[in-house]
Amino acid sequence: MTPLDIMEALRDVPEDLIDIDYEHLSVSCTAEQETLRTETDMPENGKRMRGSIVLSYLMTACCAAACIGGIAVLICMTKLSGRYSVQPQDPAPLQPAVTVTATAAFPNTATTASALYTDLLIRNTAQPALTAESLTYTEQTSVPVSTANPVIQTTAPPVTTASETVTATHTTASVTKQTPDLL
Amino acid sequence: MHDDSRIIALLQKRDEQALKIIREQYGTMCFQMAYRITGNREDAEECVNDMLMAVWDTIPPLHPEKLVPYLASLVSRKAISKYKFMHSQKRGGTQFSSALDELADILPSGECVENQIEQREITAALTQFLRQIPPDHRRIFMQRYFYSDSVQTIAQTNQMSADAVKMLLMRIRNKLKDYMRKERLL
Repeated sequence: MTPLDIMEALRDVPEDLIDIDYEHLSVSCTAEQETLRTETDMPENGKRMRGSIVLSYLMTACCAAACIGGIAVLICMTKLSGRYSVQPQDPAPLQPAVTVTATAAFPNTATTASALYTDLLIRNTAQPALTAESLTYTEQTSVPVSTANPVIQTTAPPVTTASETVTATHTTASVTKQTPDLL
Repeated sequence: MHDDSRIIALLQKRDEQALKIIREQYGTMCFQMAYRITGNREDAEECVNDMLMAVWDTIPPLHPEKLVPYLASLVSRKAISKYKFMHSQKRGGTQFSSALDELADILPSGECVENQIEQREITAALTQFLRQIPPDHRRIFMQRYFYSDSVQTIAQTNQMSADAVKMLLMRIRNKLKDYMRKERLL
């Protein structure tokens, strides 16, 4: 015998035992509430479920928006930091190409340029921290020296092989000289 | 609100209006009973429809005095059958259980004779037991195990606390157990 057997056997008892005025006892009092519970509460549950679904969608959307915003901020910060950051400069090539343009009215410009070149070369090797201002110094004040190009890399190792060009434009004399290994 | 005798008279005259009145008047109660057993709205609705069909098929020749007990008995039987069917589907679902179901169709009520005799003995014992206990105990017992009311509902309709209802139901069950042992059914 199982509980289900007893439940089924209960369905076969005489009607006078079943008749407990259930219609008025239960139906009129609580069955209406149960009707509400079984029928109208289901839409309520549905509403609650729908509300929770909408809420979850909203939360998902907010999370997605926050993620996208965070990524955008990261990108902007990366770009800004790249723009304003101090980028390490590439070491300049070993080319202290000192170009001396002599425009003075010397009869022998080539000689003058050569002397000037020698002077500069000595200064360059003697004073590694040679600046553009110091390059303007010359005993021959009449010879203007272009200081546009001399880029002196103070951190670079001493010049060992460099090509230097001395040009005298007045008499169209151009001297190109290969510097020896001085150091 | 139609009188039961008028509804039964309509059924005796094979007037389909009687079924409409039954559905309107007792449909909610029957649906609740079936729903409490099956736990499924569609199944409960199907049980109510089956009950109306059974009412149409059995009245006449039957002539119940009151409709509520008769309808309750019919719909709860349908619901229990549905419950058993659904649970057998859940439990089995194999070819073996399908074969058993196919063979069950050729047996009366799907049960063997021994089971039917045992069921009748149980029914007789339950009837005797229910006649012995006090009417208020019988009402609470039937509310719980025939109409499948919740303990809260029983407590509310009988102006009792839920704990008192639980305690009373436990005492009635113990009495029933003793009675069934005495009748050698356990």
